[in-house]
Amino acid sequence: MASLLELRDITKSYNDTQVLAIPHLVIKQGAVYGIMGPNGAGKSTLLSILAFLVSPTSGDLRWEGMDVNTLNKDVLRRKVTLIHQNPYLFDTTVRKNIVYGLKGRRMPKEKRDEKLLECLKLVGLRGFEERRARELSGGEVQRVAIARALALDPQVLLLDEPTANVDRHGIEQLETILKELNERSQITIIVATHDVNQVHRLSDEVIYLFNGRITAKPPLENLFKGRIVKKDKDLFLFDTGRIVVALPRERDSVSRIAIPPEDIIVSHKPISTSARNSFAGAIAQVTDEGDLVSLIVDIGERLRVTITKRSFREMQLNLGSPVYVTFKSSSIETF
Amino acid sequence: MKVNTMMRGVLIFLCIFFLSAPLFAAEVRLKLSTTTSTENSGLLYVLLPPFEKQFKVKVDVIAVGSGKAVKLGENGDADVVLVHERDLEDKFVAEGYGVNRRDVMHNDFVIIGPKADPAGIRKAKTGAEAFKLIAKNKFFFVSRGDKSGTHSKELSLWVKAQAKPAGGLYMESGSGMGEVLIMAYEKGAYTLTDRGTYLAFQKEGKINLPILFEGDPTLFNPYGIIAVNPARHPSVNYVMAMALIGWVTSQEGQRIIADFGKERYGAPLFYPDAIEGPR
Amino acid sequence: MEYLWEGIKEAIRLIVSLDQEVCRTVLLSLRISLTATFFASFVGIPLGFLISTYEFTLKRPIITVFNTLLSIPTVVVGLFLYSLLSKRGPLGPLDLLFTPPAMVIGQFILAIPIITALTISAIQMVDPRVKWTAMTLGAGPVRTALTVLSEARFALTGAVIAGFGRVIAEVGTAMMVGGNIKGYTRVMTTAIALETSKGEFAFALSLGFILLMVAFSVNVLFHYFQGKRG
Repeated sequence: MASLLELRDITKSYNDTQVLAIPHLVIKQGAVYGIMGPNGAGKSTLLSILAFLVSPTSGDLRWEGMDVNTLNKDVLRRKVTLIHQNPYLFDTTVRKNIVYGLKGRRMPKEKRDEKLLECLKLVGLRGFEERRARELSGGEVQRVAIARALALDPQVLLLDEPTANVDRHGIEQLETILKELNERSQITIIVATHDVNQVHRLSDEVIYLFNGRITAKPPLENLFKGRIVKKDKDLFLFDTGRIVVALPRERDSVSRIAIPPEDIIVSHKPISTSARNSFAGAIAQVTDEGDLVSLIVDIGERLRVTITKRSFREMQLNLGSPVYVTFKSSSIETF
Repeated sequence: MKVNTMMRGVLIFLCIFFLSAPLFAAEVRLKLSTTTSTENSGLLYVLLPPFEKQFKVKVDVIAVGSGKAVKLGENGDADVVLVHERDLEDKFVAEGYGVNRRDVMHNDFVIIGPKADPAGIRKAKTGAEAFKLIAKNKFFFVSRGDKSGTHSKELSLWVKAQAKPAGGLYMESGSGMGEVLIMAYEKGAYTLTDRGTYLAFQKEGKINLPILFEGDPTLFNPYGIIAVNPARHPSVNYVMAMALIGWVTSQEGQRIIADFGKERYGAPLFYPDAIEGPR
Repeated sequence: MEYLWEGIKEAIRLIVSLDQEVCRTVLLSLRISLTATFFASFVGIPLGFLISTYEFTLKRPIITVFNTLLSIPTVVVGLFLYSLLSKRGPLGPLDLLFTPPAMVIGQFILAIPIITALTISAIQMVDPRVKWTAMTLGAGPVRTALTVLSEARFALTGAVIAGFGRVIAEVGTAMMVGGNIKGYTRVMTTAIALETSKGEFAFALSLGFILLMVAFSVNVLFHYFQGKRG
């Protein structure tokens, strides 16, 4: 596969604060990439740079091998289209929105109409031509925005949190459309999201972003310092100073552990499983992340836990709710 | 999207453009500044058309107060001035702004007031005496208050009378003769007015007040016409101004003046002064 | 109260009979005010757009100045323009005083602050994402500007109508620089002023009603030409 975009030693700073630092990144044609990271990790900044809307503070950006500074930005922007989390549709009909980019190119009317119908079909909105943009639902708005971008035949389609404001059914629809698009027209797709499951559903390759830097694996969370205080036959006990966690038998000295938030189970009462680690605590913070809810549970140490929104509602959890958190010792990462 | 609205926009623009073209057409125009009462009398719209036809010119009548009419002449913004205030006219000429002043006509002022004539000015022998009676007996008086010819005449009479109504009794309206008449009628006050405007309003039923005092020569209101001095303002249309002066003081012009108003009001509004016994 | 009723009756009679003098006056009013509004929009809308879009040091004071000019009395503008156009003034040689073009200029000066100020606020209310979205879709600076203007079109229409409303109804400037010359520079508003001063209240009122109806018709036409929103 050909290399489309290449970033080398790219940094971006705003007012002396560095928000992005990427030593090397290559985007190949025809692949689907997921950029994954918590809010504030720099996903949007990276996307803006990839879309040629924002210039990096320093570094080398290449398109098809050529230095971007030698190329026409307007032309490049049509090859790489970015769709915002909350896309803005012009206050007019769906038709006029989608055809907007084409008018700039002086395409004859019949060709434009052809393209319009094609794009509407691709996003599953046949018949929507004369609908007014202001009357559409969240999912429909996203799809029209995608159709609008597709009309320009971009080589790369960037999407910033495309399903953040979409209901569950809409999410499925969108993800299907994106997959089909990639399969059918070999268009390179880059999706920025904080939804772990989505990123794995969609991408061929995942780029993890944390504090503006690419990390090889998902960023470490629930990271604690401590030391081993007891070595049993098959268990080690790790004391952080506030809690004691059971680790599987490992290397002799462990100075840090990390517990993946998705592997922690939340319940009202202690559950009897083979999981060795079960702690009582209370919910200290609740953050809505679309389909998921991120909780901070204070069990002595503060643990970040993610559960589905459905579970959150079913358990009727709230700030301050007393809960039990349970996780297997095998899911703990040690360093 | 853009094409349709653009075309509409262009269409509208063209409409406006062509509609407004006549606005900017060039023609020979003569600017005559005069007083509102002169214009209101309607005399000019009978007197000027024959002149306009004969000399192929359009006369722009700019009607303002006497003071402003003369000022327009001083500034060169009018080509010829027709007012009825001798002092101002003389000053205008003396200071070199105007040349070739000619007498045109005169009308007269009358004093009107409430039917009952509480101040008893019917018995007065001169205008000044009538004014004195009004002031001394404390009755309401409405003044033009706008430096017009009528206003100046009124002020000169107060001076002669050595009296003037005080405070709220003296209402300075700062408006045209018509409005002043109506105000006098509504408030039951006395006022000084030119006969022409009075006759017009009385006839049309806008007011109903009797003439209480008239005939005193001090109440005569002579009109003068003056060309603006081309030496001062080379761009004025001096030739045409002189033609107009010639016209209004000619046999025919003077006859039109003498006949004006006879049909409508039964009496002429103006008395021609330029030629002895015109006919 | 009878003046009002008389006025309405007279207005209907004048319109139905297509009174020549009145027609001429109405046409002149329209020509002058429409021309002035048109040119004021031509200058005011781009000006308002630029002021609103770009950052520069004097931005706030300038916006305040425009907003203040909205309240300038028409007679003051008239005086100012008179002093410029008078033979004694710098533009005397242009021979513009007491002509319709002078009135167009005067009304142009009156309309510009309104149209500009309202354009500034209209553009400021446009979603900031518009610019960005247009750029993503490959629009250059000019096309982006036009798109922003298009998104603001409803408010911009209001701005132009407000400008027109201000000038079709003004007397001070038309009187000062036009001279209210019968058949030449006498427009509806100066005619109304004149008839009022002559005591012809009913006639003045009838002209007033006609003026209102004319303004109403212009507004309706304007909205029609503007089309349904987009």
